Amino acid sequence: MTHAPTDARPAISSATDDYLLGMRTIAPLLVAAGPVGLLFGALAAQKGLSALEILLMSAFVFAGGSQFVALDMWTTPLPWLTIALSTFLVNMRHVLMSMSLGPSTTTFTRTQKLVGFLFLADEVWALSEQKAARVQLSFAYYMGLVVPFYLMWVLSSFVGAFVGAAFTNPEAIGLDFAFTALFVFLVMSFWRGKRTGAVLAASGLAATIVYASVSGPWYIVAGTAAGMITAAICAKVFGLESDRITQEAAR
Amino acid sequence: MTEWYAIEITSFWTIFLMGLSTYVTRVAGLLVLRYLSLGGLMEETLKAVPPAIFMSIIAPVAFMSGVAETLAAAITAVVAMRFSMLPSICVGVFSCAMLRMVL
Repeated sequence: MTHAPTDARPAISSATDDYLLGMRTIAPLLVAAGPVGLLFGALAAQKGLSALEILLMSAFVFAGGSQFVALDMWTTPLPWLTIALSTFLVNMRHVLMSMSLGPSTTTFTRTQKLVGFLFLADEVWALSEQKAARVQLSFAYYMGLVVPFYLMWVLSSFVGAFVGAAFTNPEAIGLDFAFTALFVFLVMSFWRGKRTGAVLAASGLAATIVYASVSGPWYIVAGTAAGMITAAICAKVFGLESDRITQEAAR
Repeated sequence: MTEWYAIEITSFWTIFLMGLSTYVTRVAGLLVLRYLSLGGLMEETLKAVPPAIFMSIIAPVAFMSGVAETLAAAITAVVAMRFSMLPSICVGVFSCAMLRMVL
């Protein structure tokens, strides 16, 4: 670690400020993640996992969607290979996420990248991208997002193992919709004009069609691919967005 | 009822493999980037990834699970244009719960 002279960059906030800002940004999502973790713990306990096994799974895997899918297949004898493969498949979207966020982590050291990306859950990635779209993403801010969210997920699923059947129906109060609402909000925050509209239309259409016709998480791959292809075609046909912005600024 | 701290060896192995698979997907993108140079077109295409993934994740709930969810998603989108994250999510969750009761 090297420290730049303090007078060289006066406007940049300190690591502590960034960390706290990250924590503040993730705070609303803790409210949404807690019940989901409780639900996961409760369902896992019903499947016969011990509380310690549930704790370990949430701590090692830290990917809600694939953990629920694994529970679905949790029988005796344990189909460990099938579960591992489906975990990989469900989490395939993370390849695109890390590829997309990678260029925004230029200030991270190599170790910070390899350790930090261990915790690249959907919500962490989404808020990091949102930050990086406006200003430079710092490791402190990133960890500010990660630490509370990780602790909330691990602890709530552990508690859920004991609370068990008492907590059953999050649909009744619409809590299952919190995740969708978050992503609707984030879609809107990435709006950059007509091209975004084209990308969203293509990925929404492709994802819906594939979801209706193919089982498994392929709809996310298809929708993302359709959006990327649309963006590439727009760039080929109408020129690069970055060039256009530069030209407009020059005028 | 098993003890809370009981661990079966196959469960542990399965959990370990799940964690490993997940980590591989999370760093794979970084490794891919080391072998790809980011040019104009490539960068433009990658920039479309976040909104495209968000859209794909919400598509089944927003378009295929029912009228209540579709309407709630639309309401959330409108609110999101004016307000910050927390109020948007709250309005979304609340309107979804209300619409499910009514519809």
